[in-house]
This record gives sequence, structure tokens and C-alpha cells, in this order.
Amino acid sequence: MKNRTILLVEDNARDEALTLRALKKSGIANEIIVTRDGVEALEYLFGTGKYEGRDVSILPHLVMLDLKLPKLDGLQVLARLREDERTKRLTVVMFTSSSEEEDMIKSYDLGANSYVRKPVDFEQFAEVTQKLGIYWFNLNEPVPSH
Amino acid sequence: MNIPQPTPHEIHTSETRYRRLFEATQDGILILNAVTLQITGVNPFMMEFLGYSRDEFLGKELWEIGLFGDKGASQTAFKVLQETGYLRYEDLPLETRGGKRREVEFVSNVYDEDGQQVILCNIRDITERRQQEVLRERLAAIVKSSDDAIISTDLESIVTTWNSAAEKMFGHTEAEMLGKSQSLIIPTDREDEVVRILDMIKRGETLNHFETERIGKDGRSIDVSVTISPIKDEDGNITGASKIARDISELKRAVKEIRNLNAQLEQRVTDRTAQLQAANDELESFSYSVSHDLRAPLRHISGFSGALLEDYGDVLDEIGKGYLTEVREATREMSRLIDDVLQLARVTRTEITPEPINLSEMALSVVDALQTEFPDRSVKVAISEGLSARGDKRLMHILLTNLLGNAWKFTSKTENAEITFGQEEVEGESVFFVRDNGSGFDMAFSDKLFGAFQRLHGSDEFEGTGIGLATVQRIVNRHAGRVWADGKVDNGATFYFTLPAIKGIENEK
Repeated sequence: MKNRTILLVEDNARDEALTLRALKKSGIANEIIVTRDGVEALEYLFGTGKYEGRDVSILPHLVMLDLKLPKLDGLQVLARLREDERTKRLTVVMFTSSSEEEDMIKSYDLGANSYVRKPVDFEQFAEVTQKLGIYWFNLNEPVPSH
Repeated sequence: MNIPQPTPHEIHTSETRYRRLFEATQDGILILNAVTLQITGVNPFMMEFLGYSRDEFLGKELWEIGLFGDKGASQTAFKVLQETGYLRYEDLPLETRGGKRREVEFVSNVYDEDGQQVILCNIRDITERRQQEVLRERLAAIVKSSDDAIISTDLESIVTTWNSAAEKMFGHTEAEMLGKSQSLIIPTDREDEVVRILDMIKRGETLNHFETERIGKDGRSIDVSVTISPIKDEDGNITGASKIARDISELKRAVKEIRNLNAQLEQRVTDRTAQLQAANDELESFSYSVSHDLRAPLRHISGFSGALLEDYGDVLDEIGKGYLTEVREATREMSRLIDDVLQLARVTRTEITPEPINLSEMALSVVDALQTEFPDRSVKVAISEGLSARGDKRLMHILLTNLLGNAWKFTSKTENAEITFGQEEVEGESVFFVRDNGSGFDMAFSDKLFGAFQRLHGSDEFEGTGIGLATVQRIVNRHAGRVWADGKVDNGATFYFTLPAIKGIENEK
């Protein structure tokens, strides 16, 4: 339990603002790192590019990954994470507007831990975000770190 | 002139020789008295030929045994004979005793026999020869009038016959071709083929309906179908080849034309399919975009107006707060609309996987979900047991959700609300129905029921996007069924649908 950061991969500033607000309102005061596209997310996780030199042994507790992203999309990022020994067990929740069955199936096939649709309605959005936080931080037993 | 007289021995020898000739010859011989025209001698062949005995011949006149038809005719004939000493008929009809008609060549000479005028008639049976001639003429006529070129060559490929169809087909006249090599009509690149065919012919083989190419006098290429067979002489030796050639240029052109048209048609189908595919792909990406991109700004409108209300509600009066509530309500509606449109699009493009479905169970679960969503409602729901059909499970679920959801919705202002799902026979057809005792509708507008975005109720009366029944109709159509409705204002509505067995899809999962 040394690390409680959340990596939010979200290209839309408004979604970011609403998500951060909802997480804070639900009492999740952890450090939240935001990356704007798929490439940046991988750079953060693997300590390359912009994040050269970052201690990659410190992985986020939770990755909230949007599907539609510039450069590399959410599915591509997920695939790369699952291929890599260091990140293959990382908790990744797809957090997206898409209700396309195909997106869901692909996400689960690639090893997403969860698929959560962003509700349009403000109250539902807040509720979902809160539940998400509670589940992954309070109920879920994470993979033991070595 | 001193002519030496023959010795009696010589006379005897001559007599024997001519007697033998007279007896053995395969021509008929009659000897007549030139004055009386009575028969004085007949040889055995003649007797056998006409079927009369020697006695029946002797002493008779020619016409009496059927020669020359009647007495008058024979007298006229013999008058000519007496005058010229010679009479010849190329073919003279004779009748045998048995009534058979024979054709003969008739030659008679008058000569002097010891001072007496004698007529010697030589009669040759030419019946068979005549028949052969007729047959040959007939065959020649057939060959001549044939539309197929009929050609014969010897084993050196020299043309021996060339009919008029050949003249027409190849442009060379018979005169031009007889005695010439047939290579005149063979394309240079086909000479090997001709050699091979000739080898076959020499082996006694026949080539049937062989499609090849020949050249006309004007250099034009002619597509032909040829049948080539060996010509044999009486002893069975192969002496040449007969060729029957049919011009199939037109046929070839027609076949080519058909192939072209088919190819064009196929190309057109391919093009159209590609266009359709492109349109489908576009629709796909449009749906995706609707699903993802249109929701985002809506979420932001809802989110920030909600945040505003929550975080700064204390600086707004009730009217201001009311406005923000309306904004959020509107986004909720818009969101539902997007969901419904997406569902309609999905229903159209999803592939159908038919399987047996227990509709009763499915309807029960839909009603359970409705009851959970609206716990305050009290609706008496009757679902017939054992309703089943073959269909796509997902689509059937959407169908029942829409129909039962509608019934649920339109009975919300009805006391003792009742919904029935069952099956009945309508004009010999098994029909499913969902019936309610809710607000109903005016049958005058029934044609609008199933159109997308068509609503018969104001949204302040009943919520809705007007897409549900359009979706229902598409699902039923995709299952090759029909859907229709019956209703009355304030008197409930019944929606009927059929789900015929879907043919041609057997891969049950």
C-alpha cells in the first residue's frame, strides 16, 4: 500500500475536470496523474520520453483509460501494457463514452479489469466515479507486490 | 473377192461359242421376226428376268409381254427400227410377270439371216443402276443445299468436293477449289492441327464437332465446328476425308457477348456492393461517433451545470436553480435519444443468429426489470406459458423490452393496469400479441405508429423518443414477420407480430 496514485488517461480537459471533481468529492484524495494520449501514458508507465528517469517500480494503483485517444488509442495502450512483464497485472479500468459491444469485447479480450461507461448524467457520473474509487481502493485486493 | 467358206467344224465351233454366249449372258436377248414382230427366240436370262417361260415368249409380239406398253406404240417403234435398222432406248420401263417395274436399256438391230429380216433385241437390267443414280442425285442435292460446308479431300488434302455452302462460307468457288490444297482455308498457325487430324483420319478415326478456326478468301477468320470422317473405297481402304463445317462465328460472338454482359453485370454488382459496404462502414463510424463523440459534450453540459448547482447553488435563487435543472433534464433526454437511435441502427446492422427462444421466460424477465425500475407501479401482468419462437435472442429481447415497456408506460395513468402477452390464431396464422388497457391511440394515426421519431402523445403526457416502435418493426422485418397494432383512445392497445421460421439459416448455436 505504499503507492496510491491513479493514472487518468484522458484527452478531454472537461472530462478530466469532471472526473477529478467527482473523485475528490467521493473522498479519494490520492495523487492523480493525468496523461493526454496513449503515447504519454506509456511513457509515464515505462519511464521513457517525457518521463525519462521516473522510478518505474512505482506503478499506479489504478489506471483509468479512455478508449478514444490521440496517437495510440485505449485498446492499443492496453495491449502494450498486457504484453509487458512489468505492467501485465496492472489494474486497468476502461472509462469511456462508448457503449459499443465490440469495444467492450475487445477490452475484455485484451485483459481489461473492468469496463465502465461514463454516464451522461451528472449525478450518475458522480455516483459511478465514487463507486469505482470505493471498489478499487477499499474492496479490491490488489496483486501482491514483490 | 474370194471369201473362203468355213468348214463344218468351224461352223460347229462358232455355233457352240455363240450359243454359250446366248445362254450365259447376263443381258436379256430376244430375237424377233422383223416382218411379223413375233418373238422367235429368247435366252434364259430374259425368261428369268421377266418371269415368263420360253413357250410364253415364243410366237408373241413384244407388246403382249408388256414391252412398249401397247401394240400401237410397239409398231411405231419398230417402224423406226425397220427404217433405220437400229433402235436404242436409254431406259425403258418394263413390268415383270409378278408386276415389278424394271428399268432396262434396250438396244435392237435389224440384220439379215439367210434372206430373212431378223431383229435382235438386247435388254440390260439397269434398275439398280438407276436407283443408285437417283440416290446419288438425292445425296448430291442434300450436299448442295446444306447450310453446312461439306468438303472432301484426298489424303494429300487436295479438295475433291466443295459444296455451295462451302463457297458461301469461305468465299472460294467450287471451280477454284477442286484439285487445290485445302491449305487455302487453314490459318498458318493451325497447320499442325491439320496434320494431326489427317493422321487420325488415316487411322480410321472420326473427329466430332471440333471447334477451330478457318480463313475465308477475304482473309476473315471464321469460327467453325467441324466433323471430319474418313472416306473409304469399296475395299475399305481410306482414300480421303469428308468434312462438315458449321460456321459458329455468330454463336461465338453471342457467347462472347453474354460473357461480356455477365462480366459487366458482375462488375456492377461488385461496384454496388462496394458502395453499399462503404455506406455501411460510414454508418458504422457514424454510429460510433454518435455513441462516443456526441455523448461527451452532453456529459459536459450535464456535469458542469450539475457542478454549478452543487458548488454554487447558494448564490442562485430558485428560478436560477430551476433553469439548471432544466438543462440537466434536457441532457438526460438527449442522451436517451442517442441511445435509442443507436439501438435502431444496431438492430439494422446486427447479423441475425436464430435460435429457439422461450418468449414467456424472456417476457417475465423484462417485466421483472420494469417492476424493479418502477417499484411503485402495480400492474397485473399475464404472460401465457410456453410461448416460443426461433429468432435472434438479443433482438427478441429488445423487441419485448420495447413492447412491454410501451404497455407499462401507457398504463401509467390507468387504474387497475393490465398487460397481457400471449399468442392467438388470426386468419390461420399464429400471431403473438402484447395487450394493455392503457391510454390507447387513435387508429386514424396508426400508420404513424411505426415511423421513427413519430409520437402520438406529447412528451409532457408520456415520455419517449418515438423510436421504440420503429425498432420493433425493424426487428420483426428482419425476422421476416409482420407487425401491426389495434387500439382506441383511452381503451388500450394491442400490438401483434408474427415470427415465421427463418429459412436458410441453420447454424444453430
